[in-house]
Amino acid sequence: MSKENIISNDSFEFYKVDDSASEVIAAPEYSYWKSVFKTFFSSKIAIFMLVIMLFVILMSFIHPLISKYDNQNMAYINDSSKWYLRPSLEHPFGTDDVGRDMFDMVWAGARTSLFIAIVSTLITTVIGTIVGMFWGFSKKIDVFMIEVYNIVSNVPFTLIVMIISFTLSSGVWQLIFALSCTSWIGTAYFIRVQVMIIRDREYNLASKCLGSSTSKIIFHNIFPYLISVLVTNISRDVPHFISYEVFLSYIGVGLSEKVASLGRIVQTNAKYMQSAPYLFVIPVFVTALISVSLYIVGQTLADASDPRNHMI
Amino acid sequence: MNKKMLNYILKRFLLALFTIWIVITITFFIMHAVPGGPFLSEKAASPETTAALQAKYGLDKPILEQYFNYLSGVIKFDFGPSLKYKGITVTELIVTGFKTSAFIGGIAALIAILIGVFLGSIAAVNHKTKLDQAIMFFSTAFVALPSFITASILLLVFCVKLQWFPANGLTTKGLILPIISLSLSPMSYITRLTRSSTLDVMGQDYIRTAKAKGVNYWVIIFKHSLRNALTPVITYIGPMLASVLTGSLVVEKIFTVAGIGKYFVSSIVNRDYMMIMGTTIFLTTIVIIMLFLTDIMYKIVNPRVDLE
Repeated sequence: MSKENIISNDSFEFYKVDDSASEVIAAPEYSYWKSVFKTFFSSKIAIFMLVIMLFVILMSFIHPLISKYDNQNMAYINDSSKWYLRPSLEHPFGTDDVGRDMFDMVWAGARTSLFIAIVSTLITTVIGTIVGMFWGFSKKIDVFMIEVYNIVSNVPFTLIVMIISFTLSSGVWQLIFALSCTSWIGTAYFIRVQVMIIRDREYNLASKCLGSSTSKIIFHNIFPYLISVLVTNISRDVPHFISYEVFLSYIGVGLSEKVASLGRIVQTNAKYMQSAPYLFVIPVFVTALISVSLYIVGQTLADASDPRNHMI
Repeated sequence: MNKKMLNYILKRFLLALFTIWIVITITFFIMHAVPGGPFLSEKAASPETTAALQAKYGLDKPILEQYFNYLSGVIKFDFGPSLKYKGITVTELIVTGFKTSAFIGGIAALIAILIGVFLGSIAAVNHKTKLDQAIMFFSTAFVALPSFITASILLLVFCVKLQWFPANGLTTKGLILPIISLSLSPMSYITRLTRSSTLDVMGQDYIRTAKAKGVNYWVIIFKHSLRNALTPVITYIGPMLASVLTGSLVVEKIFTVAGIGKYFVSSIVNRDYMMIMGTTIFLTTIVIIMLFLTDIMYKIVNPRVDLE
């Protein structure tokens, strides 16, 4: 055997095995939230409404900090030169019958209204979701809760809110209580139905067979699925609660004169519809902007966050 | 009508009665727990006057006796005297107000259904065109806008600026704007409902068959698809009538229509306890009856629904 015929390692070129390369998946990368935002930002109306919504929210929460608006400060009550000033550079929304700056007043009012709506929605959603998830799982809770739901859902919500806020008299926290007192039952029922639909799917059965506890199945397996449902609910609740605040303050049971709120501003200025329309139009317009922008952004986000609408 | 159905109706009816009783009880005790008696607004009433007034309206009796008196009154459709309007009973006020409210509410509901179904079908047929987008945008906006705001805007534009309509609902002409503001929100909702259910139905096999057979396009839409697409709309009628009725609280106040909503709102402002209780119980009962009928109708229209 000649020396040339010996097969040694030198005759081969070795292929380098890269373990990390085998981990790469050839399919396009999918991330849930990336997909949500991609779908959301493909709608031009949604982007436009998002800009309006952010502007309104920022203005209502930041402007009152700068202006330090106080609804009870009547510094110009005796200075008729400061009354009923039409909108100008100095007073972008004009001044009212006692010389208060409407620009400061409207944003302070929007802050109160938004605060009430957001806190009530938060309470409704958190209590409703937790109760609803256990409701959907437990037969014992179901027997009792379904009767409570049948009774409460048969009584008009407007009447419940009006009677409760009338009984408790006016105030921010009283109003929040009136708004969230029974509304969580509706959310809980909604969640219950969703949970009942998905709790018996194969992946939950598998999870149960592998020994997951009920609360783990609820919070790990089912909760993520509910996000889109919750977003839809929230986007309906916030404008809904704002309209209740506005209406209740308008008829005089929601909030007192001491706090600026959109409802109070509209109510006190409704009588100037003819003589000084800007006093009435501007707060009505701001309320409309808040409701519509919140609702449309929420609805689009809800559509976008539904996993069934996602395409890779 | 099988036995299961009768059982369901009976069970549902008992639940409705039970709910009404709960509402009567809760409103009664809440109203009696509110601080400040109903005669607080009587200026500087002497203790004797107050006592005489309380004796006249039976408010000096023990609360349970008052409760049972009231309950037996309600069964006979007697809600007691109004504390604000002297010499008029709450029942009389409710009947007068409800006539107006039922009139404008009925017309508003009818308009909402007719135009809503029409616009919804148009949008579905023109799916993904500019027309569809425009209809969807406006219907979304009107669902989101509180009826308070739409009513105010209508009042401002058509009564104050253009002066086409009177700003109060005392004449028939003055009822047009309240009817429009009441119908806008349910109309938009029905538009969206009809659109999505028509889109669902249009994808079904039997529609394709009809198309292949050469059936006229509009016949397919209005005869074949709309019949099935209307099921969700029918089930919405009850909740819609309920929301129109409670929506009238807002709209009647803004347009000063002398309906039950206006009486209810002013009874709250006047702290007229008898009136608040009477209207709350009356309105709730009406809503419960409507939801009861809708539930029954839903089971008849859609037999696939499980009665359990």
